[in-house]
Amino acid sequence: MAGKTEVNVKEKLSNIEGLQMDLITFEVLRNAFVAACYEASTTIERIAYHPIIGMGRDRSNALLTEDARLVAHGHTDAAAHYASFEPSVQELFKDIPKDTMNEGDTYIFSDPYRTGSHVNDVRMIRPIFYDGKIVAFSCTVIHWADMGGPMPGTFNPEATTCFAEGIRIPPIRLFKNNELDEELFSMIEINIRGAIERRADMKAQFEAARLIDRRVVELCEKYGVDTLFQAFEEQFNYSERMMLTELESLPDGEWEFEDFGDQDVMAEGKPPIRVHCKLTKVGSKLSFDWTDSDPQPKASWGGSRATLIGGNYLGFMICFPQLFPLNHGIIRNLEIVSKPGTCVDVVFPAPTTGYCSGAFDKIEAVTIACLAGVMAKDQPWRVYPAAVSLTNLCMGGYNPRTKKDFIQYTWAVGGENARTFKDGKSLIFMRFCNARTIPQELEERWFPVIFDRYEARPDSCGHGFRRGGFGLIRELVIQTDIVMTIHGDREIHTPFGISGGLNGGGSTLIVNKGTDDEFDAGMYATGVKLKKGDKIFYGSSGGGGFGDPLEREPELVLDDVIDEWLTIEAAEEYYGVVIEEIDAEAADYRINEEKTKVARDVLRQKGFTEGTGAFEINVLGKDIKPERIPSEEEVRSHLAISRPPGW
Amino acid sequence: MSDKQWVVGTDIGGTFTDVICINMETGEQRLGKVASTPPTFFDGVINGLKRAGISGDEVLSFRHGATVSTNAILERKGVQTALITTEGFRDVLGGGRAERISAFELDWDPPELIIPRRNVMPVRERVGPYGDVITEINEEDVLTAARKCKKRGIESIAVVYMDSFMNPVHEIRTREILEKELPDVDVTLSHEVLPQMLEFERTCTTVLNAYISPILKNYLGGLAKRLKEDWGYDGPLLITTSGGGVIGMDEAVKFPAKTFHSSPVSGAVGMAGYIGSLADYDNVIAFETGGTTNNVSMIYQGSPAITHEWKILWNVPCCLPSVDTVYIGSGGGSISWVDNGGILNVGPQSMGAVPGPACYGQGGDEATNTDSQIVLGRIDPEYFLGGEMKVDGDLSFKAVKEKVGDHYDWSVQEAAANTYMVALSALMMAMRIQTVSRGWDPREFAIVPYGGGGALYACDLAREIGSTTVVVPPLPGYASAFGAIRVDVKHEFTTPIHQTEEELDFDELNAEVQKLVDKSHTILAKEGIEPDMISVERFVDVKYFSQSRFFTVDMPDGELKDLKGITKNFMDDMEAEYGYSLPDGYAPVEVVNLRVVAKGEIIKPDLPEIEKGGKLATKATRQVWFKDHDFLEADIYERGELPPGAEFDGPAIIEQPDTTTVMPPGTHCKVDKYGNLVIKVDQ
Repeated sequence: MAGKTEVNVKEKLSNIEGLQMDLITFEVLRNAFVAACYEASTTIERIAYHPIIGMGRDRSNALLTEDARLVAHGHTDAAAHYASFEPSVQELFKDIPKDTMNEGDTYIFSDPYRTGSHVNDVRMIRPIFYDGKIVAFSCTVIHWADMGGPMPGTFNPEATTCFAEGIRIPPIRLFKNNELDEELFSMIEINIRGAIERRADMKAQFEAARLIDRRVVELCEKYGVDTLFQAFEEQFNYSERMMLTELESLPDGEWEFEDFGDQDVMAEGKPPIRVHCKLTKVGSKLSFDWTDSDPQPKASWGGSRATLIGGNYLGFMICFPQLFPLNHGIIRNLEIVSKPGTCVDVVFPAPTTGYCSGAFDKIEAVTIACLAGVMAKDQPWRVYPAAVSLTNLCMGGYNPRTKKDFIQYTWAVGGENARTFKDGKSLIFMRFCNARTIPQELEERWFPVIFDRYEARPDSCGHGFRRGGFGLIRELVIQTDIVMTIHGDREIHTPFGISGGLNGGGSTLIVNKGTDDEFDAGMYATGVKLKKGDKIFYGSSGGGGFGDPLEREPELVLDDVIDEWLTIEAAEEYYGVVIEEIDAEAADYRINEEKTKVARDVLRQKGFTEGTGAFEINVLGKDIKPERIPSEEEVRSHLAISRPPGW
Repeated sequence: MSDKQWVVGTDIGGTFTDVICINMETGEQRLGKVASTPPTFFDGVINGLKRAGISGDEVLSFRHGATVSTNAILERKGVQTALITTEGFRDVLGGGRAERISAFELDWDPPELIIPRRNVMPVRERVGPYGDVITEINEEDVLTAARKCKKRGIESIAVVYMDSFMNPVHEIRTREILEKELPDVDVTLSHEVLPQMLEFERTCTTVLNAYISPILKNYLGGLAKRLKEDWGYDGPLLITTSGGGVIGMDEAVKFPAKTFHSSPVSGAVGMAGYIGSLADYDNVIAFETGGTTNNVSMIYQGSPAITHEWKILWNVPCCLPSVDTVYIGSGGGSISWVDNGGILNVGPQSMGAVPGPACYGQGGDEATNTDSQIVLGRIDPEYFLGGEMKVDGDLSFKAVKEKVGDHYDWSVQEAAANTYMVALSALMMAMRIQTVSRGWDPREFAIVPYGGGGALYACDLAREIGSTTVVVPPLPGYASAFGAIRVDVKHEFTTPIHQTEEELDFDELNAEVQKLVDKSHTILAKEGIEPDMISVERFVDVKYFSQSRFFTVDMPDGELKDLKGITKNFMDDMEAEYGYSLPDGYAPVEVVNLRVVAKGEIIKPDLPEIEKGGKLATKATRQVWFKDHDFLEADIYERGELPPGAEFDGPAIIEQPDTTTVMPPGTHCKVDKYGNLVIKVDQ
């Protein structure tokens, strides 16, 4: 049921003088492009094998023009995937000329230096033929739970080259005339774990590619190829007009920002890794310069250029969500400068699996922090602190139930950033995709684990006038001997706050917490052997805060205490609000106004520690300030919700 | 001849309460449409019944649909509710599945939680995924929760423990304690509401049930009392459900979550499905247009398409069986607007009934769909609600011109026509999603439009999606009330299994199937259904082990000895839906749930045949805009005057107080013996 609707009437009107085709046909086709991708994504969700795809939605689908320009992607896809659609198809052309492609061919391709992200994100690319000619391409991506290599799940924080991760796949014609080339696939199959399950995932991916193909052919039949081509161009022009009109009206300037990865675990002294961007805006032109970022780390943390542009696009789209979906009209107007050999543009043979917990969310957060300069005056609500980052937990071993080896790849959701007008959402997915959690009751049936906890981490938010969202604690007891790898980040340098808001709490992974066998695995533990009965305590980071916590209304702090998000101690330590428990069972807690005044004065004198760690004030973030604080009503009128029909 | 001859259907909407009574002996039909009377709504029902002129002692069967449960959720008017859950899992409800509604937009927030975190109370206990007790229940924790509830004025409690569907012993023990400690508080147990895996979905469904349980109990109890005291009816009440049936009051009070959005569903199943069958279509697109939304539901081979993932709001799932209805935010009151890139949009924001479309003259100055229809000559402002409501067509022209036309430099007619086309395109997409994405061919479906505006779009939509037939029922404005008297008693029960073929004990499995069948018979018997009117269909939810989603497939007849037949059905269904399946023996097949759908057939009045003779006559002609044609002179007919058997061609408009039917050129209408307009649409 639709319930309350959330989309506003836009007051600002521009014109459609540029539109060279019938408005209605354009509108129908524009929707049809996104719908085809969405439909493909739901098909994968329904029939794929691994829970990370079916339940977790780690998959994406796109439609591209015949010369590899991105037309549309699905509503619930992952940014890390869809930004690299263009490079993936362009790189395919280099190896396999278009004129050698035949109807019914479908190509598999996974080489992070060319396709972006990591080897697990396997692309399947299909030329779409109509009347004997290629009219478009579909590109579908699924995260394969294992791509071989030394570690179950392929994540290997200690890898120093791609050869210690998993197998890369150059462009291969895996399907000819819609028939799987078993010989070629067997070459992949013998190199990966759980090959039978991957075969099911691969088939789901192939069906998705065919579905987009069918939809495009139907559109050609109904509207003609010329109209289709024109709609592609108009779609780009339309997004471009929206984008440039908006940018034109926003202030010019230069802004820079930096953020850190916790450590290069394979380098001496395990130094932090710095991601830096300088943004220049002149008129409607944006240029993002990443050349001053740290050199490529030894360990698996960085990403290739296709990954960088993905994070950059995502940060941009978060500030301009009304431009959904990302397409070539937007892409061609963003200048992104990088230097090969830096942490945001790694080159062969650098490892890349860790990009998703490493470089990617820093790139996105830094992009948004730079764009804050553009947005602060006219659209102050589009100024955001950093949010929870991905932590990849992989476990492999023998499953006594199925009598087979298993690969469990899972993640923890956490705290979103605070907003200027409202607290951040808790226990929500990373900003880079619209994925979902995998229910504990499902994981327990598939994998030999029992969950003891799936609950918010009290006090883990970035405190502020508006606080970030809270992180998550998962505790699980292993029911068989396993090998575990955790590939995360944000334990030391946590999601930054802005305007005086504090940084969020850090991620953590501790084995057998509170026992004699306690072992702090951190975020980079590789191939740790765990015994049946061991317990993993796995906590995610909280979202960065906005504004001075001492300005937060004491009543809101009280509410957080009553709801047990915050402890009474944290309320006093970070907000200077002194709360007394009258009757916990009756939820009766009260603010001691006098003591609060004193506590706030003391805190104000003392100030918060500056730094990039948990609950510190990020020095650069402190200077990001919206010109004013918008009301919730005002922000609601600007919401840009794009969702599949019927959601 | 019995003195009890009437079957009565009633439906309460936000604005109107509808009553339809049909005499089983004579076929006579009586109607009552009166204003709804919130907050109790009882007066409206009694008024409607009195308007229809029937008294309670003449009534054979009484069917009732209420939006009370849906509205209680949407307006957050349920009772103070607490959730008692396994310690360590108190954020299952609030965390949901961690999704966002939309890519990129960070300023969005999910709907406010029905239960704030403070009222989620942990109990130390744990049952494992195979039903083994890992941690015994700590009864002290339950007592603590009970004390909290008492001190906090909690009126209803949902109890949801992890994996309780595999072994409900702790939920049952918790209820025993709570009943003793808090005798006046309602308790809902998750394994009774939804004995199925997925903790968030089960928790949310259970919480929804608990939140409205006292409300529906009071409402239905109060209604029964009023019907008896003020109207002389003391027979049973049958309540419409989300699944497209009716259930007895006992079940409805125990499981009020089964009644969400039952009004549109009754219309789709009981009205649209039935009307389609009269025109020999068992594939029907049920299409309702109201003030704020359009609803599209599907009837395929005589049965409604059902989902078990229906959401009442974003991320608020109710996973009991529900007719899969897609809601599109472009009803009569939806607004036309121009976005930043210069594109014309319609809805989802709506002017509602107040201030309503511009033509209402109640201060609404936005151009709505209704205003565009007036500009296009399709709705006659002089004949709004049959002339009962005064509207000002000039205000429609003004709004459409100023809000849309001036922006593009279009004439007011061009602006209205383009608005219509945008609205049409959204509807077309919805119908397409509902058919093609299920692997169904829209050409095999008839469209049955209902609600106030469905028939304005239906013929154009049919042409767009390739359907050849539109059937407009005689009383599209009474769809839900009429639907309520055309559906059977229907229940669905499940038992979780979660075992692969290797793990299954087929004797136990067959015993579980039999238990479900027996349960169906017991409940239907209690609802007064004779054994020979009961039919039970058996299904099984099946998937490859560790595949995420299951498929619900037919269970082969007789006792199960292996999974061969089930696996074949699974493969066939996957093949039909996705065009591929995996080879047999590819991976272990897992039985997730057993499922039965039990029906009790009850008396269902047919549409009366119209005896009126007379000649076909137009009442007027006027200039009307048609897609692909611009303005044409169209014949205007009065629906009530159309004799059965009459035939005529478009362009034409058929007017009746509760709707307007638009027949573009290239359509041919035949009025059937029930008064349905059976419109053939040339492709």
